[in-house]
Amino acid sequence: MDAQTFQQEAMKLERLLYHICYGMLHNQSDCEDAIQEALLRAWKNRHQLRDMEHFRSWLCRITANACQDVLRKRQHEGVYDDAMADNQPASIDLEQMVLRDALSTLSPEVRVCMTLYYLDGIPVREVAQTLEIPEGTVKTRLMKGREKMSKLLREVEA
Amino acid sequence: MTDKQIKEKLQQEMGAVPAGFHRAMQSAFAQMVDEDATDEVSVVVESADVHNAPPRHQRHTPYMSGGRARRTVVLVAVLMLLLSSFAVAATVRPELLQIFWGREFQLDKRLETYRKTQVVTQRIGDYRVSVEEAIYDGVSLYVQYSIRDMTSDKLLGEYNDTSDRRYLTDEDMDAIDAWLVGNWTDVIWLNGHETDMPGMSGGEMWAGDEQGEVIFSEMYRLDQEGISLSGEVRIALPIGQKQQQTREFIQEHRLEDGTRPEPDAGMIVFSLNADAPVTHYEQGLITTLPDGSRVWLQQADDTLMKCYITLGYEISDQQKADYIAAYGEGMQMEDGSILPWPDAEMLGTWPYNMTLVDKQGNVLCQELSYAEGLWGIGNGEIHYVFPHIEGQWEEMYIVPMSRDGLVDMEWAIPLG
Repeated sequence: MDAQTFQQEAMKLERLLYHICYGMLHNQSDCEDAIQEALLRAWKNRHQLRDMEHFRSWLCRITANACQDVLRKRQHEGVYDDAMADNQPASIDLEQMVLRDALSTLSPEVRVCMTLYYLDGIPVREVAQTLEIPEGTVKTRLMKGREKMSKLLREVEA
Repeated sequence: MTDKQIKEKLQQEMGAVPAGFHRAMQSAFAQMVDEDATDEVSVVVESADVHNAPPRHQRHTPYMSGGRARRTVVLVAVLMLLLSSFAVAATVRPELLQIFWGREFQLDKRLETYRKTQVVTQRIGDYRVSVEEAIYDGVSLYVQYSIRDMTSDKLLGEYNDTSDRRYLTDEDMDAIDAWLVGNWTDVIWLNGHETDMPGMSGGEMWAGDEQGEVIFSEMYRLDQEGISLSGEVRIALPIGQKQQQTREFIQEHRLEDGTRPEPDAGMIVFSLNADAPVTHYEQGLITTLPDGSRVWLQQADDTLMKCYITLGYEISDQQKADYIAAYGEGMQMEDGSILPWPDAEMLGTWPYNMTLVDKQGNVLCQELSYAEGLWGIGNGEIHYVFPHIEGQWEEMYIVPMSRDGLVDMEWAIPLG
């Protein structure tokens, strides 16, 4: 795969990759670090990809792993705190703030499952392959996320 | 909370891909070494020491400098010169509809009548607001507008050579937030009626070619709010002088139906012919698929731009039983209660790659374009967008397609 093909294929996935990064990291600056790391890692290991048909799940998996590394680093440095989420828009309305708070309470693992499944329409099976977890775990996380979001938003709206 | 609401909330939270993320990708691309490339003046700057360098690199820096072979330094210098010359040249201003449907999208000539350009321009203090284009295809309203700070002496954004557009920086976003003119509330008014941005809507913003200019493209899936426009429609966008409306003020001024009246100030108003032809279909024949689920056309709106299809579905008792046997009754909650699986959870994977065929199984659109295909699965309904196809609706089917491009008519759902 030449650089141009790699870049073209990766750009088609830009939105999806952003969803993985933001779903897991909830922090714009970390997202930027993670995607750079992931793309360079993928490029370096491109010869491992034997079938272009699997480019999407392959790159998504590398991106998810890069995000995991950022999370581990955060934990190691003792700065793991979703609520800190820096680089957020300067002005957001009340509803967005509430929503952001609600999503912040979800674990990164749950949030990324929610994002891939609901926002990107990725089937459970593929989410499981991308994140290298069992399908049942994806379903459990989706259920947990759905319930928690509903509960938090209900509380706020009440 | 329905799946549709969850999707909307997530969309609201995620928004569009930020410029910073886009730049980070471009920066990574710029560090890639293409050993197989034969063309030396490639988009990718190559150098052995780049290849062996640790992957982590400073953000937003497309090209590195220092510690390089002379040839690479010269190449970087030439490319930087080219880029800087591009930065002062005009960039491509994509057409409104290409933002949403891809660069290859061509508007059906019959829709030109309904497309309005150079719609309205107003000078508000030091700002110029222009609605440049608007069109309603019978389902979605599309609007492109620009706002320019006339006192600014610099171009906003950073040039991106892949898209040939300038993407806004974090600093630009802060500056735009502080402008006295611009979008000040998240709704629009259609014929004086407040309309929230519906689910499955979206937008993009980037920097224009004039100093202090920013451009916005927005799409409103009005069908998702049950809105169907016709005739000459008054459209009021809250993109004039920013208004301060507190939560209390909004509550006090709500109409009986709970909506807000169209504000007197801060609005840019224009009219649009909303009579573009659209054919509406609903309630097709119920089909039982081989997996036992019952599926039918819930509704479809075939416009000259796109064909928007919503399927209804019910899963069978056997499917539920099989799923429960495999995964349990539902989600076990912390308090010990069980939350049953929603139907969407138990539906198979067939909805993810559907295509349109005729009754012989011939695929009617060989390749789906950008943003076409599945748009979302909710409990009891599945949303798709396909190209407009001239054909006999009554003889058309929607059917899952394998990765090899094969369809099995046993799974075909009639649209007529």
